[in-house]
Amino acid sequence: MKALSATAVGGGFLALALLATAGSMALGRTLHPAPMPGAAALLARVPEAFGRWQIVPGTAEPINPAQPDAQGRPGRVYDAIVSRTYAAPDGAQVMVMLAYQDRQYQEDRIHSPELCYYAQGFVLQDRQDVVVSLAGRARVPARAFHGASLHRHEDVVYWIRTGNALRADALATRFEIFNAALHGRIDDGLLVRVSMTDDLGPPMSALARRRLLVRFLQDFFAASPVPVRLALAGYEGT
Amino acid sequence: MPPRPPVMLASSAGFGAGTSASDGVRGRALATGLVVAAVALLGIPTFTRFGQVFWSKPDDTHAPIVLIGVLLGFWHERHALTWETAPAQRGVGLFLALVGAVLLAVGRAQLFYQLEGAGLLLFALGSACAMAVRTSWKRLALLFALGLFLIPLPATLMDAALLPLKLALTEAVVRSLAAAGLPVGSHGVIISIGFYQLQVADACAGLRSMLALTAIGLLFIHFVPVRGRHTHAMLLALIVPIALVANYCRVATLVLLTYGLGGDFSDRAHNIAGYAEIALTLALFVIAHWALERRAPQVRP
Repeated sequence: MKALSATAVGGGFLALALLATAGSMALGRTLHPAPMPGAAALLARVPEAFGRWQIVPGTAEPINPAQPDAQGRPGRVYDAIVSRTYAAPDGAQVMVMLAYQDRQYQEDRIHSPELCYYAQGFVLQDRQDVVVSLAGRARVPARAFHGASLHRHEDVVYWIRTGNALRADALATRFEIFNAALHGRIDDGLLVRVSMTDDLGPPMSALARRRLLVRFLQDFFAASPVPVRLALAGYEGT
Repeated sequence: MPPRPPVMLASSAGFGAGTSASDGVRGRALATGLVVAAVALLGIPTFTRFGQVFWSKPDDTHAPIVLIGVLLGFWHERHALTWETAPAQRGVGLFLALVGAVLLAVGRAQLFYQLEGAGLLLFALGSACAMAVRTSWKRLALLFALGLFLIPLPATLMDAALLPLKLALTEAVVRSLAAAGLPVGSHGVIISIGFYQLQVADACAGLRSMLALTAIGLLFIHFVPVRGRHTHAMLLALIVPIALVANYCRVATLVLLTYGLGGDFSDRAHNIAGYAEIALTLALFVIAHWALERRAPQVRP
């Protein structure tokens, strides 16, 4: 094979390197972010009251959804955060945390609350995949866990929306982001997290708290205006 | 830019004489230059970005040292890259580089750093495959294995995989300091000492640096001539324990410094701790090597 002389092969490598460089630039230009306009204002339109729940000034500080870096600074900046505490007449309180990022990349995206809680000194117990059936037809794959720290015990249920996809699994989210980019999209992402500490309201088992949180999510979603529902669960969920 | 490469291919194929025996000294030198240019063209932007995104974090300061080590390793092995290779082998090399180039382009466009890094490594592997004589493959394989340490691991994976190790390390530090009579306690990854609370986040436990220290151990074995298989195996077996000891010393030192000096540390303190950790690792290897070499004559039959 005359074509495979050393210089030809060397030239071939350089040609490939040039093509890869040009190709990555061209591919990069095809990617279009699709952020939600006015995300912060939109998410703030969550219901003031629904069922037996009513917004109150929270008594417990919600856990920051950003995992702090080594020096304790928040490691990740969200484009919008909406945090509310809802109370029931029996004294139970549920914290809602919505954290929005307008672009999701493999290494810069909304990550699971397990990491935030863990990084902030919680020991995680009873992690479990749960399905939250929303008004209409969507069944959202969500995740529940119990976080125990020295001063606080908290039950958490969450899901993450990436573009129109609802996932709680990190690997599935990665695949979703990869696939979206192959189709020219940089998706946005939203963390929907609800939680309650065990020191408020009537005494309940961990399982009962978990059920309550799932029920809360369903009612919260049903009571939200349509644009908020779209933000929470995408087209898949509405 | 796209029209250029085919021109170069055609022109070089024009005067290239064909099979491996007839490349000529100048042709091979030119070919090597082209390959080095190609790898540099892809590698410099990639590593610059890794440097900005990952290696500037205090827990990842080791990675550039591993990079320098790997580059020195290739320089060390440059006599193996002679182009005394069969056309089939060159074809395979070009194919690997093609796959690598595609992965790199997709990864770079998407800011998918792992894919970009893997593509770059595959590209370099392809070029080595085209150039290197078979007898050197084993030694080059070690360098490519080290190259894997340069690909930043996904943060989530790191946390999940290294969590138990992190907790164990925190526990070990707290127990030993408590045994020494210091007011230390821990819960999860939070260490409290006196009035201070320290979080054994990535920087302190530096388990990312565990990997880098392992890589440094491999580099030590690559560069320092070791007599006898037994010594070699012992050094390999010592890589992880030595990295753990170095890590333990780092966390314990940071905890003691917090106790002695107060809570606020600058980034610099963490960086210095990182470099001290590397120095400690190398010192431990030198000691282990010296001890093993001294014993070696008795051990060998």
